[in-house]
Amino acid sequence: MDLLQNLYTGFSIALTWQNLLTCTAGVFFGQMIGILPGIGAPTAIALLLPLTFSLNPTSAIIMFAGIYYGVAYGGTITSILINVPGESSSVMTCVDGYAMAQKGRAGAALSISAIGSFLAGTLSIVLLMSFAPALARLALRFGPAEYFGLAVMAFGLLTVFGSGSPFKIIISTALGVLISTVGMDGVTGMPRLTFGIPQFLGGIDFIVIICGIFGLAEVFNSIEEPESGVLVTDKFKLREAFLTWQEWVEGRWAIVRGGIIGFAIGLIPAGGITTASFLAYMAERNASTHPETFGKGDIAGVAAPESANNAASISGFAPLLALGVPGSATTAVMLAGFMMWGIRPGPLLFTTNPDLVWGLIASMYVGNAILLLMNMFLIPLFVAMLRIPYSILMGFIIVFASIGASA
Amino acid sequence: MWLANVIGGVAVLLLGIATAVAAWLTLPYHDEFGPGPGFVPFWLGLTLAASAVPVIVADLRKTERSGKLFRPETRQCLQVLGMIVAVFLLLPILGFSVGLALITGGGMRLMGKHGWAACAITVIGTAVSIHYLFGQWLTIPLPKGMIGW
Repeated sequence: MDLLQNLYTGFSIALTWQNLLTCTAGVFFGQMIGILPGIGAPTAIALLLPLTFSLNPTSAIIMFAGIYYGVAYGGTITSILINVPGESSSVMTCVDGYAMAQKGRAGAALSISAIGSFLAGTLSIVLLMSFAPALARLALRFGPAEYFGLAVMAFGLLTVFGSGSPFKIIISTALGVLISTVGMDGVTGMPRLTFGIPQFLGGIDFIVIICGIFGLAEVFNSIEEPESGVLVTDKFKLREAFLTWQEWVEGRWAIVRGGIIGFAIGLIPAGGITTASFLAYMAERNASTHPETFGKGDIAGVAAPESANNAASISGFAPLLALGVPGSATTAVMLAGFMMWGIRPGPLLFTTNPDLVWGLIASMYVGNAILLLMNMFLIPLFVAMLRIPYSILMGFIIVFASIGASA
Repeated sequence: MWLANVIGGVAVLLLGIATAVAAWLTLPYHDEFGPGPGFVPFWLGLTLAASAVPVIVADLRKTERSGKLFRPETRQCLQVLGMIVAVFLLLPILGFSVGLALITGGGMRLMGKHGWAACAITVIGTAVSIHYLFGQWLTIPLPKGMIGW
């Protein structure tokens, strides 16, 4: 009963006109920034921090949350339309989402992403408010050995389920890990593979790599194979944004599985929404009766990672709210926001600031609904981007990739 | 395609060997806490080298060696790559906003049939947008050129 009472209190706070407005603004700005490759949620929240100075703490935190999952979905749009992930969590969406766009099903890919994000997000909120404190404490028991095991499992899954030569997959994986070793060694502080270049001391940022691999590679691939650069020539019709019954049937369980995986991974400190989307994609491919269609425009390959990243972005609040431990870079920036208003997240937060906690949780329901509605109506606008000639689009991909890499 | 695979495979093999040797010679393999900073790069280098060998061998053993390394489109790729490299080398003079805008206009000329006027308008519009949207509004620290943009 307490739970329902708390939720009622939360909704009475989240549905005030001021909090509705801040939530909508957060989702909208988050989505717009998520579309820009390389500008991730932590940067978005940090950049938009000044907008919240005039708000009360609850409204400000609600706005941050809106930005957070708005960014998570915004990154999907460029992944599907131009094969440039706006966010690292959208990398897996590129694989089948872009393939669907090339088949003329961009609208359906965006729809299943929006619906999957909404349903998995809602599932994650229910689980978050029911089990947040207990689950967060469990996730905190993860030590270095468990993290190492998680990473090894992810690499193993990649080699087993990735398409193409397993040796080439091992090479790609090893190259990725090798790039991540550049910089100051975390334990000894010794410069590693920096070749005396001071700029390498801080390491090579992940977003720089993905902007190059996905952004610039897409440009050159489209030049070498001009037919792949022809995105869409026909006018987009609103009905194309709706899923066919078969697409819904193929995608619905991927949403559920992605949502559960995303929720679980989001709870793990440093688990992150990127890992969640990656594992959900691999799990979906493993569970599929036709894994050979993955990578060629399978709708489940879009639904699973998108559901997972939204679910993880919500469950990532559990360690922050219940234990005061930020589970990701984004929640770390949000922790700074909490501190700015003199609020100390942790187990006591549920009793000292119930309005803030339950207002935030209720606003997640509202924010997810706003995200769904906003996207269902804006999909034709996003798909209209596909009619831009590639000779023009190419330059803008380079612009966004370069700004993303330097931001 | 087989030749590209062989060239790529040899490049990875050399990179792997170089990484393993550099890690072994310049970084401690062990330290007092356990594995040292050279541990992971050393084994990654060996993994790269060991994984490249089967790729090279498989492609060298192929009897069907179709496909060309250089195609007509490759020239366009090299032109675009050259343009990007040139602009980035000139960034201290051009600045980020103008440099990226020039890439947009240059891409339109190289890849499409757009006229000079359309390209010029795009370059100006893009430079202004990047400067005000990213540089001013989002306050992203973009490298500035001689004109202060």
